Amino acid sequence: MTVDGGEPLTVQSAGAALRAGRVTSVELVTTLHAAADSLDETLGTWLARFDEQALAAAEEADAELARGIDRGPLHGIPVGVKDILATDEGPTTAQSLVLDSAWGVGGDGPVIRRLRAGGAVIMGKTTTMEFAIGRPDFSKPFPVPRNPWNTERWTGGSSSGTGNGVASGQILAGLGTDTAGSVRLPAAYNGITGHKPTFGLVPKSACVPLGMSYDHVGPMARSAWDCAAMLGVMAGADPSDRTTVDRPPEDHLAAIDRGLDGLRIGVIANDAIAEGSAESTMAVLAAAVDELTAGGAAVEPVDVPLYDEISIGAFLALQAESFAWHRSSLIDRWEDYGRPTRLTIAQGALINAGDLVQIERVRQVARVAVLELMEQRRLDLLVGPTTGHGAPPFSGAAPSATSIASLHTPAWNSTGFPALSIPMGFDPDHLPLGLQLIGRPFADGLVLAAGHGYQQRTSWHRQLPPHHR
Amino acid sequence: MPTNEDEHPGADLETVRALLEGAGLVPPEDEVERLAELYPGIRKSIDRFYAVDAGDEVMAAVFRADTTDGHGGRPGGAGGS
Repeated sequence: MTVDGGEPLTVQSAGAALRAGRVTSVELVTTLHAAADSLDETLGTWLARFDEQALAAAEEADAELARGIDRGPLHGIPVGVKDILATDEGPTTAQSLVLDSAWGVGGDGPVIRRLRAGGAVIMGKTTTMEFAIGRPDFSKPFPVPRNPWNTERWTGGSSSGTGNGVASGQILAGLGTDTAGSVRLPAAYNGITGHKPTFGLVPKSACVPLGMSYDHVGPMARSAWDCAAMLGVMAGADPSDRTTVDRPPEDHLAAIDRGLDGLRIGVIANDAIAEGSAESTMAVLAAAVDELTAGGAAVEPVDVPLYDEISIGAFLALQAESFAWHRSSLIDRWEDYGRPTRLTIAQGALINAGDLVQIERVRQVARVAVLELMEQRRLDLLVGPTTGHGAPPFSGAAPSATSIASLHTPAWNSTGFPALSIPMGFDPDHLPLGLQLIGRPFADGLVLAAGHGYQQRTSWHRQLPPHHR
Repeated sequence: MPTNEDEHPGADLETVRALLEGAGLVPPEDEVERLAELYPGIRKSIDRFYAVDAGDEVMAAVFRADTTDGHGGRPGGAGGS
């Protein structure tokens, strides 16, 4: 959905239009329903649409605004929810034949409740990879999400439908989850913005787990401003998730306009970045870093300690953690899992107890070492590419474009630090590329402000794909 | 670092089958074979973690006896465990 001048509608611009009386939430929802009617068959965005409930919520949002009740930046804003998060409207599938239909019968978890309390309109459940892992699977009776920039390309996973839904204009924002990059990868591949919060900032209860100590629930939207608006509503401790940290409430929009001036930024220079990236990606990254510098940031190269270990460690440990959760179902229903999913999770059975202990010990050492590096060098942020390549094709991709080495996200699931992906340009096939900004624990506001500062200077996040309404 | 495959062709298949069966899994043979192909790489990735000096006190997870939150206390710092 665009506004005058062809600019994509955002949470920010829609909110302004709602408050100025230029549009109603019902009009937004109706328009986005039409977009979904037009695009879903091609893009595979939705597992379930809650059209009637969304219209009712939109009517209520409009009525409240008319009465002078304003619930904040998400009031009347249509959002999508990855289908591993439970909602009141219906069952959760995790895009799998295996998940017990009784899972999630308790309905909304804390994040969904907070979104509703903030006035957001839940449009439905978006596609994922089975159990938020694996690869596109054409063998199961679920939609295969496709990239709106090129439908022969993958969206990235596993928050696939939220990613292509925002990019194609079917929703203004949505929820993803991120265990090794599943918010940031589809954000990068679809040309939108996605934020993995600090571990412990956002409750992950009422969410089908993948790797319990690596899972994060995060916002996806057109811009860093929009993600900050979402995060401000989502964040905060909840007794249902004891890994959440009790901290004073924070308005993540309060300092969003601080700009880039004075920030000290380390550009990740480990060999793994260049080795896992195309030369063209590194050139786009260099231009993005120049833009940060032009905005007043001081940049310097840094080698992140134990980077390779915390990158691969996230994959290994999440396999062990996911195996712990899935073991019974794998024994009983092996064939009902998709082949990529069961072969990935089963690798957790090949990792022994001592291995997992050592991976987690190194994780603790690395987390402290990275923090010490940032303190010693007085770094506010680290940056690098989100992925080494644009979205890979469903078949025939070069191994370098689909290997784990091309994904530069999992290290930050190991440390738990906040990490944002924002569009930074295109590859030679005109597929979007993401710039990743990483901050210190609970400096989510600063990370998002830096992303916003970059987006105030660039227009990559406003580019529209061919499949867009 | 040498792997089972380097030392003894076929050993990985037997090892992987035994590990899967020990975990209660009896996949079709072609999938056991696929996991056996992956196993040397998995071992190689894991072995690098033993080359890191993690000291004597660092634990995999933070355990505290004085909490009631079901997982022994909040993870140390923000990183979790």
